[in-house]
Amino acid sequence: MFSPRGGAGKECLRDGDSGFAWLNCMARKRFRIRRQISLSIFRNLCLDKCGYYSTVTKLSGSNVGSRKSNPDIFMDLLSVIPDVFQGITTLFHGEPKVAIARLFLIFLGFVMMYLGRKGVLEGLIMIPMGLGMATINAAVMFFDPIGLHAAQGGMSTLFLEAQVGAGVEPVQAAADTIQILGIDWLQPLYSLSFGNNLIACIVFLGVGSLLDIGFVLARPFVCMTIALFAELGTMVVFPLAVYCFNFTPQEAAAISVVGGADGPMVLFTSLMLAKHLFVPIAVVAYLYLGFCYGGYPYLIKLLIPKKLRALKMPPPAKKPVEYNSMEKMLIAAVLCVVLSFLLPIASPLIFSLFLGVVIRESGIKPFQDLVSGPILYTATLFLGLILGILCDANTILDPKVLPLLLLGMLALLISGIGGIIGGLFMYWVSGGKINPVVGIAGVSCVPTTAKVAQKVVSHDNPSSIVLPLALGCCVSGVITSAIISGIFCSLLKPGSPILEMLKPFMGQ
Amino acid sequence: MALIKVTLMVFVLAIGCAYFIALLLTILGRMIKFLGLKEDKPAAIPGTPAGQIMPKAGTEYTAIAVAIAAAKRESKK
Repeated sequence: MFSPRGGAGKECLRDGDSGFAWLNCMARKRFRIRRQISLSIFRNLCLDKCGYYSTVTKLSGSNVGSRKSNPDIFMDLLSVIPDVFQGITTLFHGEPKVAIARLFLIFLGFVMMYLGRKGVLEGLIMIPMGLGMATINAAVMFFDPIGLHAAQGGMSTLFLEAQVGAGVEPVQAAADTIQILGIDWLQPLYSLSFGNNLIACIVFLGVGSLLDIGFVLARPFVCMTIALFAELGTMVVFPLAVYCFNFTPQEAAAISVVGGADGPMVLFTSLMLAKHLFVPIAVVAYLYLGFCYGGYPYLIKLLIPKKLRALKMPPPAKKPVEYNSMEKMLIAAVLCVVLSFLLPIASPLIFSLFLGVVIRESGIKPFQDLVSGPILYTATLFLGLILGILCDANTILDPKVLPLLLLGMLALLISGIGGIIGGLFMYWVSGGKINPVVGIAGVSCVPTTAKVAQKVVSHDNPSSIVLPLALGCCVSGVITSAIISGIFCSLLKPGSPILEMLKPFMGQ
Repeated sequence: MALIKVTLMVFVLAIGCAYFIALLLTILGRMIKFLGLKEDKPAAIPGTPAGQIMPKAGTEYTAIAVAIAAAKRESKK
């Protein structure tokens, strides 16, 4: 017989009990105490502040304090497993299509990371975006502090709430935003840099510090002509989105700007014209911009014969004027002021771009290093990460996203075709002196498309160099995208006469 | 029809702006060349690093003071 004396095990001791029964009793007791402690901490942390509620709390009330046999303990353990591993539980909780979409997006995230690492897609965006996309679709839990996800069974994450404050009265919106700011770890970054276009401006500042306007100054008319051809996608998709997909003119304009292939410009226009579609448009735009790197070489090979692709551009008869950095800085400053005069609505972006150019040419090395390194890459990293985090299954399953996916792809495809037509046009106008492949660089997406043009040309003729002209077209593409974005924002702002003209399309 | 008209309007305005910028760049380029701006780099004070970087604490300040005085004399001439 086993007869321990005193201590915590005293109440477990009964006449005739074996040592095993006593150990069993003690184990149950310890488990109950531990569970009570952890539950009270968990309740304090989650239930009161965040509105968390799960079956764990339901279980605790009735079971604590009762004596149970071994199988009951295992049943208890089994019953708490779904509450602990909620990422898996939520897969079986909602609609099956959401679960399938989540698994697909996790897989897509891995594919994007792999292709980004391999260099097929733009790794700078794709790697953080892929990881963000995979993680956000895994980390879903029963969590709905401000009741935004009632339709999705109260399931959400601890990353960020894109729609916080949308569609409710201002005081409630502010209260919700403050509450979420204290819970979701990426919310401060999102609320303070996406909602007001700061992220677009910072990325543009960094992009500006990489631009050498000397390439445009060498052949401004050639570069601008090609860049205008490459805006074909924007011009075709705008009416198409209204006629065929019943988008309002503002929404259609925000979507069509994807054809300009300028990420910051897309963010800017969608926030100005269609804030409610900002998330899907931004996600679609950056997803496709990543694909430009992989898809455009095939488009070039399809539309331009090998003989023309391998064309070696002869040096211009008259040597282009070279500008020193003082002159380039002055030209950039004048250009910034003139463009801001013309399009004040796009002036934050224009200013950021040319501030980058001015810093580049100013010769102040600490500023150059700061803007072209830490600022640009920090902004790019967090942009990619937040866009990945925004790719949750519910966003992708939004019925408006499928047309956006189609229109975004169409806009970039038609812009690519337009750029190539522009390249062929310049080849014809110049009497065969310009390689038509440079046309693709007019699609902007600095400096990806210029690199694509050089990559394709080098593949067919290693001694042919098109990069300087391609970079000029790329920079011009940024300027034309900014112009078109500014025109759209000015023409389609509330109360403009053009919007009155388009009234029949507003109520669709 | 109204939508096509607006689309064309946007494109024509964009063409106008883009070619205006191209023209401006051409004229500005020529004007700036005419002005003959030279790429001046700010001269560092002898013994100190260039730009707004603090000199080291162990710098020989007498040499700096002499160099500044010499530069001032030169500029007055």
